[in-house]
Amino acid sequence: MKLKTHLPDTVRSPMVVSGFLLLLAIILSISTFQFTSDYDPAIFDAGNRFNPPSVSNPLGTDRYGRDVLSQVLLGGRITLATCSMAMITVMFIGITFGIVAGYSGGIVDRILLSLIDVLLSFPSTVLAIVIAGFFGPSLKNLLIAVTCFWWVRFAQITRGMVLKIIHEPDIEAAVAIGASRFTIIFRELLPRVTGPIIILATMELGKLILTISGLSFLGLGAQPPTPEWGALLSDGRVYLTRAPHLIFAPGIAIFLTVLSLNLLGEGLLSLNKGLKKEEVELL
Amino acid sequence: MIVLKLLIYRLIRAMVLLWIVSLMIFTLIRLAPGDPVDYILGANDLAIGDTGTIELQKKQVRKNLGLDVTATQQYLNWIKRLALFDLGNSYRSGKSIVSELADRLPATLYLAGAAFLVQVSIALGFGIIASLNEDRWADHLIRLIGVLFVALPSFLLGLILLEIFAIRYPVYDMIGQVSFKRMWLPALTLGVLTSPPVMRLIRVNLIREYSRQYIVFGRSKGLGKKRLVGIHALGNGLLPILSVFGVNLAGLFSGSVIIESIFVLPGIGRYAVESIFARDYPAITGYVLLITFIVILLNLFVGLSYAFIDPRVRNTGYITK
Repeated sequence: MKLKTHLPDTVRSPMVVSGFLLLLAIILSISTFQFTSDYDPAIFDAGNRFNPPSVSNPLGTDRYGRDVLSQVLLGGRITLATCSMAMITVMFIGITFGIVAGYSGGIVDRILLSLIDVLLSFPSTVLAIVIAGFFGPSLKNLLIAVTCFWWVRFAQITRGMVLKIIHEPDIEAAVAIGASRFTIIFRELLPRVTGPIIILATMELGKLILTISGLSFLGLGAQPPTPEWGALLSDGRVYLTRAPHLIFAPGIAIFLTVLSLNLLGEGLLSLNKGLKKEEVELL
Repeated sequence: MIVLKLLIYRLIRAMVLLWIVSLMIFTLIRLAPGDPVDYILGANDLAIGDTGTIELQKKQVRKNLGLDVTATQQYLNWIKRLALFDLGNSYRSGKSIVSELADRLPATLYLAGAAFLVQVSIALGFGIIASLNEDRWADHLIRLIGVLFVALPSFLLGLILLEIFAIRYPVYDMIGQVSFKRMWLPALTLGVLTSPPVMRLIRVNLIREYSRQYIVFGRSKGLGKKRLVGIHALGNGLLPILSVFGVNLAGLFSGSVIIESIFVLPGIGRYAVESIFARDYPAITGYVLLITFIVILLNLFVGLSYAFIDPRVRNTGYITK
């Protein structure tokens, strides 16, 4: 077992490894599906409606005779692409606000902190519902709504980290030798904040996927012809008894994706002992 | 005296919060696309004949809705009506929104309350077990199950449970009034799915307490494990989580939107979703304001409860964060 000791911690954590492999498998199958599947998810086939899973249609067909597997894979692209984009935006906004609040302190910090407090005390689903309600249900509006509120957690956590880091000897040394604000923020704070924030974003991405697909399931997000996972599930719910594969296929796709992200995030989080406190604050 | 000061501080905070939210909602209403007058009069693209009459009609409706004055004045009027608990009438039914929401509130309160009980008992039970077995198999197993449940979409689990308990083995009552028979399944679903994060928090907090000096002292004094964990560690460890409980309860009110829709419960969440599809703006506004009110009330309650539970807050005004 000599080899094992030479491997980095990351590779030895079963959570990280299984999460990473699962996520890799999902991303690969989603991105290569045109090359592996003969089905066009948009083609109707009236003779093959509600087929149960078979060799030619591994996940069966839906009420229009479309191949469910290709729909789920195509939907995965939409879900993953939109949610990742939203998550990156949210991270960017959150880190910016967090660093500004934590680094400048004083009145700026107080104002931003109370804004964070107000937004955090609100259930984010309600806020998303409001925006969908006033601007009409669509995936775009839902994503905008979610982005408007999701950054708050990141800002809160970044701020907490900055407040702690700022009193470490090397930052104080940098200040002492007259490093500019720019240098301190981009050279010292940002690199140290980014790592943990990316780990947190992994887990938040799972939550975001659940929220987006949940609201799409209610009809507040992606609208029916779009094969988004939540919308697919809601499409199939009427035929639950007749064709249960219609809800299981997208449902399990969501489950596995969120699971892989959570395993990866949790695993990395527990390796990163310094993050324990933020882990608590994250919730 | 300090408790009074705390009360005033919390009340002012709540008022400011309410004011900010009211401004936000008002801005959203104003920003929303479409003219409410058109919603009420219906599409008039097809109207034949005298356009002058239609313009006159529009003006009249605009006046009735109070939309013919400046935005500031509209805001003030709106706030005035809110203070009198007048949320206007639903575009759909024409009935007052306050009474429509009041009809639907019990189902949501029941659901959120019951789900909260389920959530807290699961989180407490497994959180304590996990913390006592830190890094042993029981801890890892509980954590793994937690990760699995967090990833499970509530709508998938809800639909599966409904299929099993309402159709295959009909032990769950899909129709009927707000009662235990109608609520146990949705409350269980919601409670179980939302418990893992709380459990993790309880576990982490308890583990941190175990290494504190007062526990070491208690152990050297010969206190039993039950007393040490159950009273001393739990009391101190749960204190910081109290505010999380408040936020969670608020989250359950909103998390119930999906569950209410799946189990077809007559709650405010489903009402909100139906209102969105009907473009019933006053109803959506009413829903948001009600949730805001509940959230603020919960925050106020949690903030004040510290004064009663934690003597440090009561005697010194020290606020646990």
